[in-house]
Amino acid sequence: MQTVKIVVTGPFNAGKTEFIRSVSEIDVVSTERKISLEEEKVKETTTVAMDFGRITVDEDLVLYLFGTPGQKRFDFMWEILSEGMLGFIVMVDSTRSETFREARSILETFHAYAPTPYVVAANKQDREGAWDIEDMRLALRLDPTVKFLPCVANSKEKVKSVLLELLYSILAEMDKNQPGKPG
Amino acid sequence: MRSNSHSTSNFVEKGIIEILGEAQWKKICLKLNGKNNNRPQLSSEKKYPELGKLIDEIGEVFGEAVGFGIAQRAGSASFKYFQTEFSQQLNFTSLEMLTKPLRSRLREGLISIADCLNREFGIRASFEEIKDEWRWRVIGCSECSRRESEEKICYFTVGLIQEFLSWSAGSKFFQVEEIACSARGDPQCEFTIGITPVD
Repeated sequence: MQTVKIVVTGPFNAGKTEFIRSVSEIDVVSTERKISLEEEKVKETTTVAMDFGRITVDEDLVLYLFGTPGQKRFDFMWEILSEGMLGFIVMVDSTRSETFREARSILETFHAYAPTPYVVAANKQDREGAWDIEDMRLALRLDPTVKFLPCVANSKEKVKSVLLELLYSILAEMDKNQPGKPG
Repeated sequence: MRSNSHSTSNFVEKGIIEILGEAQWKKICLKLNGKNNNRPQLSSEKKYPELGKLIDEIGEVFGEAVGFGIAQRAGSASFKYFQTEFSQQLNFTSLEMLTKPLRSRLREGLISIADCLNREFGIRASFEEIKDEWRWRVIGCSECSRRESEEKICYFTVGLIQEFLSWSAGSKFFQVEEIACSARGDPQCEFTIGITPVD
């Protein structure tokens, strides 16, 4: 059985929790809001500051999704959550261009933690005022080879297609790294 | 009457399976036991102490700190199974209990859980009210016995207590925090429990 740990990250209110909730088989309990009321206790409650979801693809493949807390003050959780991840998704709110720079910075940070496959999801594409995908790619300075996908986090089908794209990249990477395979 | 060793671990097992899924559970058990057994190798005493091994293994898969978070989720998930398994002893749903004011209901429920765990697992859990908070103390903690850590690690217990409080108080969230842990050399595990919900 292959366990695939995937981290879903992005700026505050980009739609990470909604994304995980759309496809998870278990309740995605986030205690982030509760913790924020007791900010001084953050350090003591670090491990619960995450969303967590599970998707069983089949008997041999289970995906575990971990959402990072969006607020800057929880960024110490990012590295903890990235331990052992096989891939990550950066969620970007297509309607809030003021968060693009932060999204880019988060992408670079996670890529530095682990050079694993990733995709970028342009969320809220169904909303009025959403940026065009190609304009967003330019604004985010994404290389043309980076998978940049339109997304609506509360649509199970859209979320599944984003996950599938990442999964293909992860499987390709695993295949590439198998002994005996040409690099 | 002490439950047989199979039933005593059921709520722990079911809670972990609910969160991790059956496939991951089997994978962990196979790793702990060798390939011929789908259940964890259990001590001859009680099954609950093996929880520590399971949580360590979850930490191996997902990273230690994330493992603690999953342990807390599993603890929360296990509450409903715990309640079902020991419903007669816990008596949470009797008319007498349900008609008590919330604070009394929570207090008596916590005492009831401590009594049940003491009887079934041979630990020494106790409950005390101090001004505006409650304290839950455990000597011989099942979760961290045979484990050593520089941190407090009894997150499954935190989840279990938190879920009881939430269930009793209509989904409200209560702060439960471990302030001392046997795993790091403290004489006992100790938890503070907020009397009033956070939200």
